Amino acid sequence: VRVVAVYSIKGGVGKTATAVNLAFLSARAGARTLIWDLDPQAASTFYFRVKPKIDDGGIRKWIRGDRPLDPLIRGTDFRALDLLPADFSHRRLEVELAGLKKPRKRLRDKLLPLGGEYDHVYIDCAPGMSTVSEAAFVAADVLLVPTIPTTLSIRALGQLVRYLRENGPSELSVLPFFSMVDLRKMLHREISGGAESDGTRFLDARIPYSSEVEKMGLRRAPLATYAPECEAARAYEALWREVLGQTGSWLSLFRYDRFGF
Amino acid sequence: LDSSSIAFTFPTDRAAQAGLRAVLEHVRGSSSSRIARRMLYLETVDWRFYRKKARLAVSWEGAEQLLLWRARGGGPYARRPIDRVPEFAWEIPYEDLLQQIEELAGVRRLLPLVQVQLDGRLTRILDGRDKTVVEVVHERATVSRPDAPAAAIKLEPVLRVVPVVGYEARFHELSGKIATTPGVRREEGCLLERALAALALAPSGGEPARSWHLRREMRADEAMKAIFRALFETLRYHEVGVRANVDSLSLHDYRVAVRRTRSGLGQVPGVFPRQISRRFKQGFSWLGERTAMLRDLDVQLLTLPRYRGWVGPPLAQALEPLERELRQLHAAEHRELVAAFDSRRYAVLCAAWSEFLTAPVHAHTTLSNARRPIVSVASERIGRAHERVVRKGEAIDPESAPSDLHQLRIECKKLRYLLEFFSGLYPEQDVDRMVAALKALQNTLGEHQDLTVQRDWLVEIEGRPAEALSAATREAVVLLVRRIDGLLAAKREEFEARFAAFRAPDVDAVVRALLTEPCA
Repeated sequence: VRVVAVYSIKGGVGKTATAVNLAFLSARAGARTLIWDLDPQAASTFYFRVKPKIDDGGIRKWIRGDRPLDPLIRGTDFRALDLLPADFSHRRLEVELAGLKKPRKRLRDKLLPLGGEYDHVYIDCAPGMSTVSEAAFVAADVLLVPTIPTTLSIRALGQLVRYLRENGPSELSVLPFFSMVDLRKMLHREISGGAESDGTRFLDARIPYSSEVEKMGLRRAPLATYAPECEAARAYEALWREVLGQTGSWLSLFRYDRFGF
Repeated sequence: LDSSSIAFTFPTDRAAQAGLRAVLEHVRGSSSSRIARRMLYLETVDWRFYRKKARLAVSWEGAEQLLLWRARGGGPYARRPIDRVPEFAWEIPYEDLLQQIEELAGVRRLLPLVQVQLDGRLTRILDGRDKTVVEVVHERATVSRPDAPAAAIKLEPVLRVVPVVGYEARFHELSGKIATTPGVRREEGCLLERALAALALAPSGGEPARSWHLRREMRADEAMKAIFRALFETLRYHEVGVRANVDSLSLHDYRVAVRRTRSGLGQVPGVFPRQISRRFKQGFSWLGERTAMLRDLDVQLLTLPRYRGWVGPPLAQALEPLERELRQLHAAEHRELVAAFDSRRYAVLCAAWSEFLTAPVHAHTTLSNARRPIVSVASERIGRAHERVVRKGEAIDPESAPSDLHQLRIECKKLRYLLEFFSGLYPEQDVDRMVAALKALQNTLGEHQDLTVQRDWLVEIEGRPAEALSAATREAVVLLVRRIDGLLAAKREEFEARFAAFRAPDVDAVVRALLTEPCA
C-alpha cells in the first residue's frame, strides 16, 4: 500500500478537496483506495455522506488499543473507494496520541494491517502542526502540500520543509503544488509561475480557484462525478497522474462484482 | 473487510421487479440507473480454468475493455484494462496475472467459450443522508456460443444484492426481504455456470481419465489390454481437437497417446502374438511419423514470441515472413493430416485395434509373458529400461552428437511410459521419487532436442539465397542461431547435473526396492 497524506499548516487551502478528488480518481482507475479522514471537522466524511458510527469512547480506544480499524471503515458510493470516517471525537486524538509511547508511529502501525486490502491510502490531515500531523508524516510515503500562491502560504511551506528536513522521516517525499490559483490576481500569477520554493520543487499541476470545487459541499460528491470537463477537474486529473508517478502503479484484486463474475 | 454478494433467481422479469419492490418498501430512499456489460469467457481446450474453479473473461463496459480474472478456488478477482483479447497466457501484460493464468493454461490457446450480454438496472438503497448502503442489481443476461451468436438464450432474471463495506446489517436485512418473495430461488451458481447450463455446454466430454486399475496378480495380457484401451480412448478424444485445429495441445496429447501405445507394444513383448504386435506397432509408427511434422511446426510457432523477445523490437518485425511461411506450412500439413485421418488405412487401423482390445484374452496360450502376473513382467521390463537409460546416459560426454542425446531421450521416454503404465503396482512415493528424477532429466533432454530442431530450421533459412531473404530477417536469424547455440551449451552443462541426480544413491535404492519388493 502507498500512503499519501494531504497536509498543510494552514487551513482553507483545499486539503479536503484534494484528498477526496484524488482518492476518487485513484479508485476510478482501479486501485483499491481508502481515504482516512483525520480532521475533526470531518469534511471528507461529510462529502461522502457517511455518518460515522464510532461508539462511546470515540476514536480513543481505537487508537490506544490493539483493535483493528476495519469495523470503522465504510464503503462509499464509488467502486473500490472506502472511507475511514472522522467525527468530533477526533479533536481528542492529539491528547490521546501524546499519552502513548512512540506516538509518531501509531498511525503507521494502525494502517499496517490494512496493507493487503488497499493499494492507495489518502490521509486528509487537519491543519496545524501537532503530534497527529507528525504521526501522519511517519505513516505516509508522500506528503502532498496544497499551497495557495500567496506570501504567507509560501512562508508556511518553507517552515514545513525546514521542519521536515530536520525532524521528518527521511524517506518521505514532500510534493507541494499550487492550489486555488486565481490567475486574475497578479500575485498568484507571479508566485505560481515559479517552480521551486526553498529548494522544494512544485508539481506541474495547478488547481485553479473554481466555484465548481466549492460546489462539492452542495453536491457532496467528487468533482469528476458532476463536472468532469471543468478546468479544476482536469487539473485534479493532472495532479493525480503526477502523484501516481511518485506512488507507483498498483495491481488490484476486488472483493465482489456487480454481475457476479 | 470480506463480503460477498447474494443472488436470487426469479422465473420472470415481473417477479424480479416484485422482489425489488419488496425491498423498496422498507427503505428510506433509492436511486436507479442502467448498467450494461458484454463479456467473453475464455477457456482452454481441456477446461483447465473451469475445473480449477478459476474464471477468465474479457469485458466491455462503455469505452473500457477489461480483463477479468478470478484465480483458482475463487476469492477476490482482478479487473485490468487490456488492449485486445489474449490468445495465449503470455500475451497478458500483467506479470502477476500472467503467472497465475500460465500456471493453469500453459501453452494452451485461450479459446472463446461463452458470450454474455448483460443489461441491468442498478438500484442504490440510500440512507437518510442519501448515502448508498446496499446495491441491488436487476440482471438480465443473454448468453450464446461464440460460434453461434444468433442462437442466444435468455437466462432467468436475477436480483443480486451487493453489500457496501460497513453496512452489512442492512445488506442481510434486505437480502432477507427478497428471499421471502414468491417464486424466488437463491442462486448458488455463478454467471458462467448458469450460462453453461443454458447452452448445454459441459466439460464432461473432457479427456478420459488416464487411469487403469491393475492388480498385481492380473494376467499380463489382460493388464496390457486395459492400458491400451484407456490410451485408445484418449487418442480418439484428442483426434477431434486435432481435426478442429484449435489448440496445439490436442496434437501434443494425441501424439503422446500414440507413442505410449507404440512403446507399450514394443516394451512389453510376449504378451500378444508377435504378428499382431508387429502389425499394430507399424500402424502406430505410421501415425507417429504422420503427425511429427505438424508438431514441429506447432513448436516453432509457439516459440516465435520468444524469438521476438530475443531479437528486440526493431528486428522482431523482420520475423514476420518466417511466421507467414510457418503458418502456410502448418495449414498444408494440417490438411494432409486430416486427409490421413479420413483415409481407409486409419479407419482400418482403428477398427482392428478396437476389436482386438475388446476381444477376451485366450485362456490357453503359449506366449511367454501372457499369463504371467503383470507385476513380474512390469518389474522385469522397468529394470531393463532403467539399465538402458543408465548405459546410454553414461556414454554421453561433451563430444557426443545431438543424436546421442536424442537417443537417450527416447530411452527415457520408454522408461517413463513403463513407470506410468505400472505405477499402481508399486508404493506411490517410490514411483514418484523415480519419476521426479527422470522428469527433470527428460526436461533437459527435451529442451535440448527442441532447440536442436529450431536451430536446424534457422540454419536452413540462413543458407537460403540472398534474394529469398531480407537483410533484416537474415540478421534476426543469425542472432537467433547465436542465442540458441548459447542455450544448447547451457543444456549440455545442465545434463550432467540432471543425470547425476538421476543416478543418485537414493534413486538407485528406490529402483532396487521397486523391482524386488512389488506390492499392491
